[in-house]
Amino acid sequence: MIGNDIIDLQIIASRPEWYWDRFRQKIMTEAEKQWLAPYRKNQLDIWIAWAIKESIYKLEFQFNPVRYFSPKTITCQSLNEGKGRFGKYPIALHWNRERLSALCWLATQKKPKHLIMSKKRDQLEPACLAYLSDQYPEKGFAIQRKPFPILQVDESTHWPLSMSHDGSWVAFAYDPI
Amino acid sequence: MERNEIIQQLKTIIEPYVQDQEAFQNISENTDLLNDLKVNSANLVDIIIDAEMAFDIEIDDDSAEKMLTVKDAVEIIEQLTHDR
Repeated sequence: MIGNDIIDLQIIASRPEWYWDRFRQKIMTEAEKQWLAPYRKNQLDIWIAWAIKESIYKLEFQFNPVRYFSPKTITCQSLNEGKGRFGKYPIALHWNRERLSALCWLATQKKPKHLIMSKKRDQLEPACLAYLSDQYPEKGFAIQRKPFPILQVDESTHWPLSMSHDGSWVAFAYDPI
Repeated sequence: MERNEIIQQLKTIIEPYVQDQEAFQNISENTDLLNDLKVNSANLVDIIIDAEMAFDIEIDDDSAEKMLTVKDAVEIIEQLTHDR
């Protein structure tokens, strides 16, 4: 099982600082606010917390399909060079000036393969399938979306898959088990 | 505050975050914010903050979790403005 998230940092609306403080209040615990304080410039703390929580939500939805994503009920622990942990889930974060991505997976799995591309939202699935077909030309992939994304490899084989899009970016992660 | 007034103000709040304009044109009380209007989950937090400002209320985490449809949102805002 995999969860991922991508955030386009260049399309975030300009808001006054009081607004972002209220946003923090809505999504972060007091402990999270403290360990994320060094990342407050340009609200990076918010988007780190958001991406981690959203990716964990996507992973957990696969065995606990809760309809609403409630950020404060998922607490994330401190990072070390972009790596962190939430209970039994390792987390990898990467960011630059343009985008921030998060990936989490089960500790019993090896780290999934994670691709980030500059594409529009409606290009996510075609880009994912094109990439996989190129990597594994002998396989005939299809994506099942409901109730959560799964990569159908053949009639009896499925690979875990997670997909995300925001603004100019799409990201997907898969585990070729 | 009248229910119709809340709905009109809420539509104004929601509109900038809608990714499916066709669904927004056909908005009703049963419209689902995430599935129908394709509002992303981070923008749902924006909508909650904008609604707090517009209606001078505070929407706690429990209430926020219940705001899945327009009807849910209107009823929560109606209750909170009544209790104010």
